[in-house]
Amino acid sequence: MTAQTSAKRPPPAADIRPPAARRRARRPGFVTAALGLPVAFMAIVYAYPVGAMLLKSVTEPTAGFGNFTEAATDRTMWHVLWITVRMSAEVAVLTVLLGFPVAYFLARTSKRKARFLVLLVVIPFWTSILVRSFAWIVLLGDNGLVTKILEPLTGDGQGMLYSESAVIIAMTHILLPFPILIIKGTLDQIDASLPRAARSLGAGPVRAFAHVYLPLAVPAIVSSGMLVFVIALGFYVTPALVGGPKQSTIAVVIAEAVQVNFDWGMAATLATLLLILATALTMIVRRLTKVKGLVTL
Amino acid sequence: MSEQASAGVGAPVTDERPARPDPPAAAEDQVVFSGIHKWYGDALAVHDFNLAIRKGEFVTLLGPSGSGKTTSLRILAGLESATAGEVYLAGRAVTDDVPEKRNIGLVFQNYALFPHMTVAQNIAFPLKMRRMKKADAAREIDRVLTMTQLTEFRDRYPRQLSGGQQQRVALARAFVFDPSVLLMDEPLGALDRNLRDHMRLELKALQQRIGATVLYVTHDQDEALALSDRIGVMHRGVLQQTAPPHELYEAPVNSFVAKFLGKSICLPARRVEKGARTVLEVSGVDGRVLVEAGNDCSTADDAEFMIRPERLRISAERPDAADRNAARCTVAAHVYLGPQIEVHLRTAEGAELEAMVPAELRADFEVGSPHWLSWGPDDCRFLPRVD
Repeated sequence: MTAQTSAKRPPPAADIRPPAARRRARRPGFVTAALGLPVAFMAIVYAYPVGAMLLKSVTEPTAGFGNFTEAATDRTMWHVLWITVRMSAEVAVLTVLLGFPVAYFLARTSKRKARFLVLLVVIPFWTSILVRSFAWIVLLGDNGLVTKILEPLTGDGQGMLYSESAVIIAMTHILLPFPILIIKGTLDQIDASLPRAARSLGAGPVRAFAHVYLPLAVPAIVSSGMLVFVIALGFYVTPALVGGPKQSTIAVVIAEAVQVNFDWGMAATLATLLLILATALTMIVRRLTKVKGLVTL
Repeated sequence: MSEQASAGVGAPVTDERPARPDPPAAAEDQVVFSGIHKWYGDALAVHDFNLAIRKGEFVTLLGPSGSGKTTSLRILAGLESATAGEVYLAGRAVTDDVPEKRNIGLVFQNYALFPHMTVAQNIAFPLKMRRMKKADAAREIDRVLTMTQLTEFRDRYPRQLSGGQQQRVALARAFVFDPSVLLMDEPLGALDRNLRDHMRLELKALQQRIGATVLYVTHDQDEALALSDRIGVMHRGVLQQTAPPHELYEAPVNSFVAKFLGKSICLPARRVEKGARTVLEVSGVDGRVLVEAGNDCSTADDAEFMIRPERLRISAERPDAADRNAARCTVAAHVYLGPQIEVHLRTAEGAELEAMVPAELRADFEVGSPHWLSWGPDDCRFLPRVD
């Protein structure tokens, strides 16, 4: 290099002092401030009641884990828990099985058509669960439409109301929009050139779907299934209206504990058990179905 | 052979399907497009597309977006069906084959790597689909990983790779199964300028090493010129000209090709005499302009006069040589570009044209200074106008 460049060397290190650390007033930003409101809201309507519930479970009627031992030794409690988990799992699997093809179709059809059809999926949300459950009572009852249609097959006019099938059908209907919307959201993100690439690389349509498309949809399938499962665990209205005494879910038993027995401590205990159950199962399923290479939510 | 694919309601072409052409004569033709038409509803995307690609040849389809180049490529890949015409691969008609039966390596612009598979798994995919034995597949994968310098990344997922590395994975995945032809649709389009220039060299070297037959689609003329054995220029669904790069540049067959590839000066012109040399009247140029008969490509008398700027000689005096075309002009503007200056010249009759001049001569090209332009009859061409 020439002399000119060397003349432009930086001054000796001793002369360099780091600039005074910049100070900027650390005022809460707009986003932080805006976050305050929902946090406060959640604290009041969510954190406090859950805390109170957890507290009640170990304080009422007397301090200690008496409620838990009572619940754990009560065979009917285990049975109720088992029915709740089983029905929720069945509903979760059914909604995903029925929802995936719909979501797949919605993701592949034209944007305009999809917008309209998504509206149709969402409309039932505008109707209350109570109304929809009552509708199933009418449909599945002894002289209901479904019963009449099925009469030539079943051979009698007996409705399937107050049975496990009735609860499953009604809950599946009510919860079906969740998997459809969640899975569609993920399928929309899948690059349309991926299945095409798979085809060009020698995969037939079935193998392209199984090896490329489906694995990419697994996170959405699992998380929507989990969501339905967790919501179903706490379902009260539908099992109470459409189901019989044999279909008492844990939510029904909790309501009974409060309304009939005035046993707040037991109700809180069962609710706590439900919370623990839902959390544990969610975490296990998440861990088991991680798809490598994908950023999951 | 099934009946002609539906052209859509209201398509003008319905039963005009050309008689099925004979299979390609030349045995070394790896890919043959024969009379391919593609209609989308009543919009014509590709019109009478004919192209033969020899084994080991690198052919590029060059054209602006919407010119039908990608559609042609997708018809060969089987991702689109042709409305009419036939495609042959290695001497076999594949027009009605599904994509997975064609044995074609396809590189997408966005790479289309499978995000849930590692580099090695992505490359293994086509081998797995062909039910290759595990041990053989492993050997093939190692081979292409080495060739594309990806060995150390074999267990990474696509999102952990840079754009250039993803590009190499896409390439490796497309040729690992020894396809009859490699198709690339703007494969360098998503990379930044420097990386693109580098990958261009790498791509060419790799293609020559594996002796692959390549059909490449791009709108970037530098890429086409640097990579291709032959370039086909497409415009509005029509293949305008197919030729080696230098021929395409030196001897374009119409004004679209001349303007699309490199810089050119095109002026409306009329032919007044035909002979050993065509005599033209060029709008904006005083007097007659002579064009070598071999450079007269137009059937119509009204067409375009074309010359490459670097063929123009600029001098202070009118050149003496009798058969040199000459025009007087003045400098309208100039732009300093470092090694060169771009001079905008205006002829006395009002035609505007640009020329490049070495930067050290810039003192001679002040705005308003007069000059003479001259060129030989073999430097310019008379071309049909295609806009």
